[in-house]
Amino acid sequence: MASPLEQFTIKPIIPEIGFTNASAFMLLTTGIVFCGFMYASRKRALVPGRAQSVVEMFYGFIFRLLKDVAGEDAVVFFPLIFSLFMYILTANYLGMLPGAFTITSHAIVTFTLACFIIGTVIIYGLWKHGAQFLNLFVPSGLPKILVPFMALIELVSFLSRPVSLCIRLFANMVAGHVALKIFAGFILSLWAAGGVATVLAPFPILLIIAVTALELLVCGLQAFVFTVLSCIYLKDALHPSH
Amino acid sequence: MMDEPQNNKEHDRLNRKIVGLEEKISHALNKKHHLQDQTSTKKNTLAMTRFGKAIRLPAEFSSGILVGFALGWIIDKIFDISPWGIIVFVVIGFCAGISNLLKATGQIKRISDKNQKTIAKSEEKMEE
Repeated sequence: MASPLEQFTIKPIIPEIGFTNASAFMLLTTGIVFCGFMYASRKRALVPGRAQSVVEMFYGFIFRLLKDVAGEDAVVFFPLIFSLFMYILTANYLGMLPGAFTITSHAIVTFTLACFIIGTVIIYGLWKHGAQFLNLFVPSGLPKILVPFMALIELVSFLSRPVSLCIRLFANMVAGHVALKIFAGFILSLWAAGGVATVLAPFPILLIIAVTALELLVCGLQAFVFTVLSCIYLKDALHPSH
Repeated sequence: MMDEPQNNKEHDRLNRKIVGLEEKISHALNKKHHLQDQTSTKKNTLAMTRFGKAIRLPAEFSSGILVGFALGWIIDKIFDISPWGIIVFVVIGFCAGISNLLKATGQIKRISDKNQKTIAKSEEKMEE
């Protein structure tokens, strides 16, 4: 029986240019989001049809989220946040299809996305507020003697943000997919064991159904959590006072 | 000549209709915004309370220690003081992880919100 981690192996498709199954699924994800939105908004109807209202729902949802969490002036970042949300959401759900490759199950992919957000926060914060942005590392109302120590802790805490964004998404995706694979493996083991165990063989399917339902929830929720936290971090870039 | 008063009447009638419709639309929009505000805040808090926190908090804490470890390792390599960099920075990373947790659960935010409120109040007084 294959290892539960085998589903995450990267296989080259066109080795000459380093095109792998991960790159293929990234392209596919982008393609699905792009084509879906082009198709849904092709009529630009005042009264939206079914496809268009789904797309408008996503748009409105993220727009309100960004405005609620990061404030009115964060709307300039809407294209970034919205693309990020749609990309992660589509990638997660695409990974749920049997046989599909889950690109968000690779730490380097989620780390790149997280660095994108933190990079935006740092560059925009420094550009907009200059040295005042560094107030982020000095909590207000501290005794002076504690400031260097707290600044160090806050610096590590700030650096841990992209890591926590990265770990959260990738660990959840890996855990869910591995759990599915292991429960599926139970069927084969029980079947091969013979005797009473053979009768029990179909039952792990119930578990698989339950875990699949949970995974479908986690896929959406992870994309949502990633987006909410990005919005919270962007708020720091806009209003760095602690 | 007979047409004009009739036209005017028709015009007035239509105008009144338009004004009435506009009122209806703005009324409906207000209602919708009100509903949306309520549902959106409810949804956000729901998502962030139980399951949201359960998948958010472990990563917040462990990432602090991981970053501390990585920083300590780099400092060890640069200054060649192994293992002191890792020892010190894992402890600092632990503190950062706890501070992350407190921020994520809103314990620190409450304090800083209070501070911000007092700051805002004093600023208002200054303006007056």
